[in-house]
Amino acid sequence: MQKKKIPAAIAAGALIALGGSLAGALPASAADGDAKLSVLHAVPGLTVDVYVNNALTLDDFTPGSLAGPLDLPAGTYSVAITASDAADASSPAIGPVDLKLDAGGNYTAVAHLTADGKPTATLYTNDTSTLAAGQGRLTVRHDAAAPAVDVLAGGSAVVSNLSNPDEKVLNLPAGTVSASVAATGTTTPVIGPADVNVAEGVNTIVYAWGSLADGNLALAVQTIDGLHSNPSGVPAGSAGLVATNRPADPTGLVIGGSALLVLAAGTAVALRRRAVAKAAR
Amino acid sequence: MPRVDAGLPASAPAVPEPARVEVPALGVDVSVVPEGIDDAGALALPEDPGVAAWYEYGPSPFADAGSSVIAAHVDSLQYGLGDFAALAGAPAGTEVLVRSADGTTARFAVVSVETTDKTGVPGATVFDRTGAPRLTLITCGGEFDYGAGHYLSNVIVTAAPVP
Repeated sequence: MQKKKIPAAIAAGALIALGGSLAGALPASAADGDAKLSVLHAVPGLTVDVYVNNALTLDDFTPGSLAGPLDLPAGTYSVAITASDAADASSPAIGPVDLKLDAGGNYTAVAHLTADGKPTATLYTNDTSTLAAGQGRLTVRHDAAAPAVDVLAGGSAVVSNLSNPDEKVLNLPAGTVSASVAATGTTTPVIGPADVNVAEGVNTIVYAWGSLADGNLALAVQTIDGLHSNPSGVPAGSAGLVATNRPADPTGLVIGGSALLVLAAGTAVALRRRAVAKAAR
Repeated sequence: MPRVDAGLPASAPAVPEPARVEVPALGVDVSVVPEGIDDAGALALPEDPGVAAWYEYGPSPFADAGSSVIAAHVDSLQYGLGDFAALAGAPAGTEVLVRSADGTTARFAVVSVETTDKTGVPGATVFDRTGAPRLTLITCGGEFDYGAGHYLSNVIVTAAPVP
């Protein structure tokens, strides 16, 4: 997924929907320093409407859906979630809750069940710090009506005793993780195992949601890309055969066996160093 | 506001990966393998100069955006001189062919060849994952540090797609 700005017309429409009182102060397009807000619906069996500052922002929002990200000026937004047939935000099923969004922050608001099965909403701050080259980030969030869990990768716990609505963030070598979720201290999966692609330079956020008692636990996934950094260099030669500073008789150095031996003697120290370095790995 | 189903994604249709690079005019013909990062955080390269590394976390040469990086050792004490040694003399317009394992070919033409001190390699440009699609071939060159056993410069060939 590329870094995308929401087209100005859509952004303006959505921002007006956030409340007429804000509209005059809003920029025509996303500005640097705006916050990014995504919304995940993780309450099973309930299609909802989402109101932001009393304006309908997400109509008929279905469970398991992820909306956004929307670029928003920093500030505090009131979010109310109603049944999908509600006429307005006056009788919310969840909220209203105040979401404080800081400039430059990246957030996901999640409507989900508490550990004992009551609808609620949690605002998470997504970690968008730069990753080392070759690394991916795995964020695990417990948004299910279930007790504390362990997250297992390849059969062993990588996250222990995670409770609703907590999260755990791991930076890992990029690759596919076979992940499952089990009651803490156990290894029998209640979700999974499922292959999760922890892609390089990406924060892959996995949500456990649903209800253990109702037998509808599931995973939802959100990804935030563009967090990569570059290799530190390209070390692409070790013999000096085409060096511009090679000793006399360059032709001999390239094709003459005896000259190669001379060259080899010159680099023997380096080779020994490499051997030591490899042995230490 | 865009909405998606947040369920576990099915594996996306993969963009082909490079399997060979050829520069017919210069006699370059090497196989290509996907590589990531070595222990030092640098691009990992096969020891054999006859096998090039494609930086697997960046764009493929068959992708529609960004700089695809394929690099190979210029030489090695074990294997001798590599094909990529010829790249330093590539004139602008030289044809570069990248072939995938399934036989697809992407065609490029050399735009520039630069020899850059390794401390000055523009990583953000070379490894850029966005912008116009292009192929970046990298090897070593310039002066050699006989004590440390490495070259002081990278030879960076930038090539643009040929329709």
